[in-house]
Amino acid sequence: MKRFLTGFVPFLLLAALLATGILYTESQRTAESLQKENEALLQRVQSDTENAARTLSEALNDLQSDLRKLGAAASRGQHVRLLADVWRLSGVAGSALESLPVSHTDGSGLMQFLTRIGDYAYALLQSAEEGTLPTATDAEQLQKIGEQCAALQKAVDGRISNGTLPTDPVTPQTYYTASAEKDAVPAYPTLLYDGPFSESSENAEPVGLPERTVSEAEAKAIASAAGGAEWRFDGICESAIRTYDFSGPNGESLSVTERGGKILYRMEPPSGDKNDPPSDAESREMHAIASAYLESAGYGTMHPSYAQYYAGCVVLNYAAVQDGVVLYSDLVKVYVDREAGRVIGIDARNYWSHHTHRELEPPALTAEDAKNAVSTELTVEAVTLALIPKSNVREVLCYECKGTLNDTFFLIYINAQTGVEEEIFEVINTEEGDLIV
Amino acid sequence: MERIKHFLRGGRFVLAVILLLLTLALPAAADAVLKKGSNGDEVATVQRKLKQWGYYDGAVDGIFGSRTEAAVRYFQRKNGLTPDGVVGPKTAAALGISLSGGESGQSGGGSGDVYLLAQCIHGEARGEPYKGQVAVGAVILNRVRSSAFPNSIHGVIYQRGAFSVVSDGQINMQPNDTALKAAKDAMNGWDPTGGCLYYYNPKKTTNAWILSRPVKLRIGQHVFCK
Repeated sequence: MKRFLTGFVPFLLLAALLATGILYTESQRTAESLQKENEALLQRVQSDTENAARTLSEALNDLQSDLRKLGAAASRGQHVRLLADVWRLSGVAGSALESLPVSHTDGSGLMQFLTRIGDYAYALLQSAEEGTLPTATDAEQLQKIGEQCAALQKAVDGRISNGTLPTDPVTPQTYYTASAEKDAVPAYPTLLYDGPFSESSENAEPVGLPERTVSEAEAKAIASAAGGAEWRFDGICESAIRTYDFSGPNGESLSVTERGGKILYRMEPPSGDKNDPPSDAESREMHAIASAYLESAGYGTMHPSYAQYYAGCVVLNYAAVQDGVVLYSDLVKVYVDREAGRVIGIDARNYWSHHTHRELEPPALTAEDAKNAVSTELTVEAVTLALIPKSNVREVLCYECKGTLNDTFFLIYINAQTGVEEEIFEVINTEEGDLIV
Repeated sequence: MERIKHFLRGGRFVLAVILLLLTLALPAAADAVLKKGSNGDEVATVQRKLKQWGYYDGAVDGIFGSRTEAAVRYFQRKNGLTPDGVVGPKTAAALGISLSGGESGQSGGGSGDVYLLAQCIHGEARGEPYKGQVAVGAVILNRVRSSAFPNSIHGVIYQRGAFSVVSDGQINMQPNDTALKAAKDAMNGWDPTGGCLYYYNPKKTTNAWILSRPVKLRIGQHVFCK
């Protein structure tokens, strides 16, 4: 026994030593390869940053060139080509900026500037296509943008050449850290135009709401009258449309606007979880339920546009109608529970943001004219008048022509005054609904 | 005799240590795993996922080589898993796939913006009330609409430092049904925040800038602001 032990113990010790040795070298190797991996990764991040900065600089350079050329251009064709290029380059510059490790607060002013350049160019592009060239004010703005781009490019190039590009990754902790390096960032001019990203549209007023302020108690009464749950007041949502927010015991929620006391949102959890498209009969039934609800809620006659189905609901979109003209900005979404066959949700934000009486000029074109303006490739099935949003602040009266081409369903909007083909939408029938793209 | 017992106990201890060390040194052999040397469709699915999420830049060829192994390690480290380079049940779940039985990819998948939005909601707000989950989705969509932020859902979600779930890799988790529904409701226009661009948990935030923003509303643990 003793001999066995004297023989075995040293062997065990030796084995232990060996294993420790192997483990040590293994962990050394892992540490080394980890470090190599880290170095390679850091190198890649640095190259990506450098590449993004150069892309940004190049785009800013090309933007200046295009903007100078716009100052010298006379023809519609050149304006269209150059404005389209400005639009494209602003996108290139924007995605290059996204790839740079700069904190959100440092980059957001520049991002906004770049987005608005593109948006502005696109608005001018649309007018140029229709034959209206930029005005003197526009020309002046375009030159100012050019100067801003030059200053920005200089700042970016300076940082590339003296090697002071930001390299530290932006973490959730530094995301909101405003940088002290304000010198590189000039103040951006306010651009006057009416694109979707313009300041005027980002601060639009909810014109549909009556100008009367309701108190918390009144809001509570409005919620109770709407029924559906025992509503408890949660607080005020201090948004562009201030609302009194309520919740129910089973996940229901409801918002009443402070201005006008209207129900902006209402949502209840659905009872089922059906996702499949409804049959025609079920679809008709759901529409009947939603229409009746809208009627009783005081919306009057609404025009059903498209439907989606998910998580046990059918979401039906309705647009307001004025003298036979469909007002597509004034949209209400109605959520119908498919199992229970009742309305469980409503989203009327678009409706109350836009719904007001429109002064509509009688159309210069007839429905027949509009039909003839649509491509002969399409089989037009129906034509109705519609007011469509071209931006958040501009609407155009159009003939909506529903047509098919190779089994694909299109909605084509012909300007009712000028015959210009304003928009083409493709209706995609997916499993989750008829989407309009 | 006492000494022998003592020796024996000591010997057993050494043996136990060696066994333990050896077990640690060798990759655990479990059933239904993918590791270096594996091949087939499941490997290709793993490679595709890793590539999609930026962990892998090699070919999607269904062959588990050293580059795939390195990518798996990288993914595991980023997602708080043991970085052993082996795709076992835990790693597979984190990748949103199930191994063996030929149903790989069934449970996970989805590359569209709604799915990504749901992943972000799930990562950021899965313990929050439903309305709070929709609100997180709405903030992301409000950023997409704002001129000061990137103009796409993925652009906003992957903006540097914007979401901690992207920084720590939790974004890659499979979203649950609630998060998916919240994403759809948000996509559909439900915005409980009324246009807010930021939210934070006041208990976890020390950033002066974000704390200085006027609070618009509060849902669950989060406060929302513009």
